[in-house]
Amino acid sequence: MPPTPPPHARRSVVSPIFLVFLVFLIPRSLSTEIIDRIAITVGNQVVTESQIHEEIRVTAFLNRDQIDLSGAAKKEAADRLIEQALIKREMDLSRYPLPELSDAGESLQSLKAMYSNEMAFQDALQAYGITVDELTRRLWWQLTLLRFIDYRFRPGIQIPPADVQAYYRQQVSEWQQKGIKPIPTLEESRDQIEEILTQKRIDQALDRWISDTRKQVTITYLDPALRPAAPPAVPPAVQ
Amino acid sequence: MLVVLCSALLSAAADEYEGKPIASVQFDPATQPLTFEQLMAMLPLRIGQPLRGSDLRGAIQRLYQTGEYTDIAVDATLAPTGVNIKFLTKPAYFIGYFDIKGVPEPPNEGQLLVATKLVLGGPYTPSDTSAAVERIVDLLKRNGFYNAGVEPATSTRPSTQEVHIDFSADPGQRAKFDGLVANGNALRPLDNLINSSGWKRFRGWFGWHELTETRLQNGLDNIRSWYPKHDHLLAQVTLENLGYDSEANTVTPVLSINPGPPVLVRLRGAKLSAGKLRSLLPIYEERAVDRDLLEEGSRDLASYFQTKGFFDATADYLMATPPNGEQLIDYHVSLGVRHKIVKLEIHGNHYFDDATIRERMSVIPATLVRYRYGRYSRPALDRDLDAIRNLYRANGFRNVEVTSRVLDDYNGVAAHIAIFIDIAEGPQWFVAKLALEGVSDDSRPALMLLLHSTQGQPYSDLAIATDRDNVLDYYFNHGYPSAKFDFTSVPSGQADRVDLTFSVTPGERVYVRNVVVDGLKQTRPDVVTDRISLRADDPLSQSQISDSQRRLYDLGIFSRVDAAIQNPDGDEPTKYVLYSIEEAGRYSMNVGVGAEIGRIGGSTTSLDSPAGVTGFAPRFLFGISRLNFFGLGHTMSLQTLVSTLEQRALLTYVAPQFLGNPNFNLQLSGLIDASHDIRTFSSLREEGSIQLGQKLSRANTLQYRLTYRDVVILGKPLISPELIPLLAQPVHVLVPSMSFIQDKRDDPIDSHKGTYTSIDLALALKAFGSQTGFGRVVARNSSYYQLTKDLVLARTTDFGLIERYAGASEIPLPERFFAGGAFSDRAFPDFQAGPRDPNTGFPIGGNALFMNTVELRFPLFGDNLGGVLFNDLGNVYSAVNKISLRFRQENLQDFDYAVQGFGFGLRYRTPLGPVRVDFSLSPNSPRFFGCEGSINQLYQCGVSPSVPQTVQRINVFQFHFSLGQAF
Repeated sequence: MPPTPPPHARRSVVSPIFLVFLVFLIPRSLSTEIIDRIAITVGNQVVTESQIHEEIRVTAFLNRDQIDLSGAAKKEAADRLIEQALIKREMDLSRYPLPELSDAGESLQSLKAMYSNEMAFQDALQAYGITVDELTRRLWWQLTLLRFIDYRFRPGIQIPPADVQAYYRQQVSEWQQKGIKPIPTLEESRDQIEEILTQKRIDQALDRWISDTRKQVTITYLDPALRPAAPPAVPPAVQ
Repeated sequence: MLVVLCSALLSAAADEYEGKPIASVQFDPATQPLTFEQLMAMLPLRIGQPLRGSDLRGAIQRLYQTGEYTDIAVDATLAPTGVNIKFLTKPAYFIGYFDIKGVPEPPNEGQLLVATKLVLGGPYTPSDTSAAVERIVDLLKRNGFYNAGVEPATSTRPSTQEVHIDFSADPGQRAKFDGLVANGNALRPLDNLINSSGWKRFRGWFGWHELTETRLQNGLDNIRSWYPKHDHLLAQVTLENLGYDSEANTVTPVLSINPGPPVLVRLRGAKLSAGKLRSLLPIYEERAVDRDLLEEGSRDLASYFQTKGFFDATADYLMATPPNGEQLIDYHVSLGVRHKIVKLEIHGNHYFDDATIRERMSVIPATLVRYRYGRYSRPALDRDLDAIRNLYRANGFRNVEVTSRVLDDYNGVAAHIAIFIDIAEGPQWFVAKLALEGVSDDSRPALMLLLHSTQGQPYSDLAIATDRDNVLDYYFNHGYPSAKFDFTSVPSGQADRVDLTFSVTPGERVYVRNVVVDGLKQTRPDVVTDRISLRADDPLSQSQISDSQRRLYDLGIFSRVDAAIQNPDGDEPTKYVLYSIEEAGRYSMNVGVGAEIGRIGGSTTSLDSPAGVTGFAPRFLFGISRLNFFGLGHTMSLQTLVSTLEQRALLTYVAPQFLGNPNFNLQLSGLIDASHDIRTFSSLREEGSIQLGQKLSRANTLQYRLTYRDVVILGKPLISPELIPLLAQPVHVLVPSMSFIQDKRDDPIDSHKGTYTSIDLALALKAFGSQTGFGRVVARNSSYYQLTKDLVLARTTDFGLIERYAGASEIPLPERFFAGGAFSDRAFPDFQAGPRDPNTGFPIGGNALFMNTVELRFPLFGDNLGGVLFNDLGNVYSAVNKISLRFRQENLQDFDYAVQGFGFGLRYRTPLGPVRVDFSLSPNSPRFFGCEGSINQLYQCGVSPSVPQTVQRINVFQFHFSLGQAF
């Protein structure tokens, strides 16, 4: 006869199973459910749990990836939303005029054009659990972000002629290796090179700005599971 | 696994409710910081409308933005009519009050409170308390309390979401200095360093001082300051550690001293004292030698000599490093010729007169005393031209051009300079039309009164900037903290005219949820609430918050009144206004020592020197005040004075802002005064009075007073014996009186312009028990005229009249007018004006007074020393019908004429007012008969040949020392 487990041991085994049963057995109409809550606060803005879910679904839809609701994927989505909240805060502070929602129509049409017909597009949305409204809002937000980043950082970017020449020399070397002919002159390539370098510098400036702003704005993780892993400790130097 | 499961459930749950109608919205807990209606007004959710996840997210964001919550979740339940929504909220808490007790100064309470970095009204998190404790302990340690312990006691007020934190400190014993260790080559003996530091008590006789942050820093600064004076500009003195000995609770600071190479600074081509050179050259202040500082020193030297008249002065430097390791810095100054600004003329100015423009200029032509060569340098002239341009532009002259011509050797005289300022004003621009957009009809009339850029007024950027500030101030003070202002201007159809449009976006109006007062212990709450003008549901007004704070400070019973808005960054329609108050100590003491020097001397028992001799009277003051009597904000104080001339005790009870009205104050006072400041007699005065002060306006004040006075002449007055029964009887009077004061001076301590008028009416009523009945009128009128920027003409006229109507046949001595002295007619010593006893020559006061003083006040040297030329005229007269401006004294019994005093005075400006010395020469000072002998020979004075009468005279030369202008 097996030994009788002590009462507390029995409880520890039975209780989780019992709870899971309760969750599925109690009729929905009689239960109350948390349908959304704050996951992270960024200054006076919030990132809600439903926002993280939507971010994952819409991103997966746009990238035509599988929906990944793992902890790591949520952390990544939460991090993106924190960065967007910081930019949104900057937009509010600088009274940046937001574009109309209808401005996202062109992007939506381009996206629809990737599907064979409207039905296929709607099926795809349903498969990812998102609505047209949610997708439109996301496209509008992407547009707003891109325009604001350009407005905010481009004026501070200067491309010295030496950098253009250095980039051109590097390109020429690559073209020669690839056997591309005829090789365009520096003057023919200047505008294009300047734009490429400007975009690179805007990205760098944005990264720096986000890094600095993160230190200035209080970010609180109400859902500890979303907290980024602490950077690995630097081992003490050996004397 | 549970997290994944919950996430999946959350997602599924949200989908399940999407699009279903909202049946109800609730909040948990039911008691929320804002009312249900306020909450629903701000949320994008409506009963009966379909539930959208994005709206729900917006609702959470909006609620969080109020700043009132730290966590929000949304709970949903399916109901037959749709979805019941419930917001589960966790309230935020805010710092409502914090104080620190138990720490002896230093650090003082203010430093401790600042060190906590807690912000009144700001959001609170538990980590704030522990961080504050760490900072307090750190500050205490820096002040020698190495074993300090700090215990926070935190309590919450859920109804107002406040957290109160009381820090209780047990500082322990303060550590003492116990020596000094100097590493490196200090170039000085250790004892010398210790003496410089000041860490050891006087010559070490009383051990070492206690460690405080200020004392440590001062000591280091003192040690450092030795080196630049001894040519070691680059010396580095750093504190390595404090060397704390926990056993002995002492510190032995360990310093690292590197004197650096000797740096010799020499000045060629001009002469300056070593101290002046050190104050001019930045290398001494910065204790560093680099190219920028050396060049800055050259500019400073040139500029210094330019202000001395060497307008062409230039300076340069050479630096060398000889083999011996020294650094040599030679400043070469080329002074050039000493110039003189003989003329400064302004041409082309029509809109502004010369005086208005010159007020804005730092370039000054030569004057007789103060600026012997004038003041000029090219940069200064350029700044002046800019200032003139800005003046014109601020008044609509947008195209003004201002240029200068500097002519050397003017009129053929070498080194004479003339400066001509040429102004081309151009057209003046005006506002043709002003439109106000976004302004309600209620606010429009009040706003229009605040604006400068109205129709027909000059158009300028400065005026618009001022208007912007005024408009935003108006909105901020009427509950619109996020109001925004924009303007546009377009040319109107007419020339030099613009149409202006001011656009205001008021934003959401914010109201006062309630006013919360914390920190009262003794004070009755209504004393505070009566002085706070804001009430619940009033629009939030920053000016009313600070006005109320000022009124509380004005009570004089609080050492700290902090005012703040709770949750300042929260976006919500109502807010708490917090007043955090620290009551001042209930007792305060003051002690003072001083002296009077003047013609105040002479024995009280001698008939000699009725006009006084130069004397010295030390005085000691002691006072004690009990603040906040009965918790009503009233103050009772006892002030005593003891000197060889006077002994006085004054007890007062003051009720400021009487009955909560800031325009009224009540004062009760009792006085006992034994004095001999009037040479003629000593008196004992007992007086009680009650006075109600009423402030009619900023300039005008009324005082209503009832005084009971009982005066007894002590001993025998130095007057003819037959007059004693008439003039020296003990007398008590009851005097209702009223004063009107109008003060329009720019600065009461040292006035430059404005007027001052006072009229005092008093009636000693026989019916009220006075032994004598008389009426008294005293009036003063002063006016001040600023002739130029530095030249002030001041005048004052005093008039007084006493008219007896009942009781004793003569006005008793103590009730008569006595005048003369530093604040009166300076031709006289103190209280020596007016009628005198015909036998003894001592002053017996008069029944009328007329005095007029004219002063010309001007600067002498620098900014602090000024001079005064004055003429004092007048006297105390025997009766009002005897007032005369006659110059000559008719006979030795005639005192009813105007005594003139001409003089010169010096004024040295101090924070307490000018220190004053006046020298007066009086060509018609009174002559009179006097006797020489003791008081016992009073009866023989003028009668017996043994006590002969002699003709005496008030000295024609008088001097007066005092503080403050004469009027």
